[in-house]
Amino acid sequence: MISNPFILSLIAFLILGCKPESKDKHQNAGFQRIVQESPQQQEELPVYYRFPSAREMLKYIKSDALIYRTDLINSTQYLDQYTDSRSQTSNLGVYLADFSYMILFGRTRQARDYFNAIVELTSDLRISIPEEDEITQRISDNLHDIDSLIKISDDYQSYIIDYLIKTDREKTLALISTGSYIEGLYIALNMVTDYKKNMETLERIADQKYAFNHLVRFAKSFPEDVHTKYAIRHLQEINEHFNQLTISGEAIKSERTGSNRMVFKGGEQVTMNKEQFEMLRETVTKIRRDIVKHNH
Amino acid sequence: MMSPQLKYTLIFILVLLARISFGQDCTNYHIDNCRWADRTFLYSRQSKSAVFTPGMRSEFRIIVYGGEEYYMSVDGHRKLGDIRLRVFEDNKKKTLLYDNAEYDYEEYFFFRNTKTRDLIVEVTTEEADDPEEAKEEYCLGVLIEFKETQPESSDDKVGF
Repeated sequence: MISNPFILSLIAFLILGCKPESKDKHQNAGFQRIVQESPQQQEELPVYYRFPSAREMLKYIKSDALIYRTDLINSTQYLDQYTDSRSQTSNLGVYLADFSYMILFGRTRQARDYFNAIVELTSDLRISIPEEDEITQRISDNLHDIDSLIKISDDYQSYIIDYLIKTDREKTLALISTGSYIEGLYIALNMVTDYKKNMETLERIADQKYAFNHLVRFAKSFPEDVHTKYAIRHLQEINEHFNQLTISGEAIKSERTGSNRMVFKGGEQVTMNKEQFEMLRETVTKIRRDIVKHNH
Repeated sequence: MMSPQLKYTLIFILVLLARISFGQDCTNYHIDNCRWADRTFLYSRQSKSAVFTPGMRSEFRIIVYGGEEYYMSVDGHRKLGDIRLRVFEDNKKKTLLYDNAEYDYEEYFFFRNTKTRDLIVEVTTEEADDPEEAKEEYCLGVLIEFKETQPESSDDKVGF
């Protein structure tokens, strides 16, 4: 056994010092992971894209005119058939969106089953959540308290995201988010039963053009990853529909309305006609079928 | 009395810990350090923290939904000085919507938003006097929260 403290210290430094370091000390600094030095360089900077969670998206789309449909969520009975990492990762996103959907609409009867499915897939994907037992207990204690369930669901998703970022697995996050977004959009589009009666909902669905655009740009940060390529292909197919939507514009302005308070006005308005809505729904349903497919 | 082997193992662990602590983990800096709005606001996962040096400018892009109210706060290590927060519409003109330098570098603000839009959130830290200090890395975070706006408070509604 090595007992000399100098040799032990040297080994420790060598092991931890072997991590590849960037040539520029500041390569990992800033949101964009590169220091800004000149206007020329600024033009070529990679951009860090953020996007709302599927829960934020569904909350934005939700209205009293929409009725919850149990047939839209992906059944947990297929869980065991997701055995490869791509289907496990994308369906973790699907179940996270389903979990958010049922909580937002106050349908908590199945929430426990869906949370268990999420925990199982998280474990299969070696995403380590130290607070898992505590959160499971909180779910059990608050099954009928919607506000608490929303908070718990948010916390758990935050733990997953934090873990993936800390372990440099953001490409996994891109695939999970793709699963979540496509499931969220699938649910939203299929809750609309009457085009004319749901104009406000359709406007809000059309607004997802921006979020899908950010998500595909985020996914493109990992162009070499085979699973991310799969996600990008699906997202681009959906974005082709979003890119055909009509955009009208008003002058943009911002105003100070009080201490630490602003209002941002004007800007683009995206609208979707009936034909565009039906074509988008058809494409999203087809892609979603591919993501959740199982061997039955 | 501590055995030599135990002593050396402890030294080994201490060296490991010291080496690990050189790396900055800023992932949750905004959660632990930024000022939060009241409980009616919900956390947005578009919030972001990063490692910054003095005199640095960096940006990220977010989506804000129409008809919602947002809250944004910024915080960084005191060595980063006054932190400038600017928000632009992500369009060809890069329209400036907010600049906290106009408001004495306020560290948080609320904004109501009438239409869904792409925003660029740009953060700039103060230049350091000493060139050596300019190389030091510190955490900085931007916290974003949101809530639905009541329809009657929409500023796009005018007249009857």
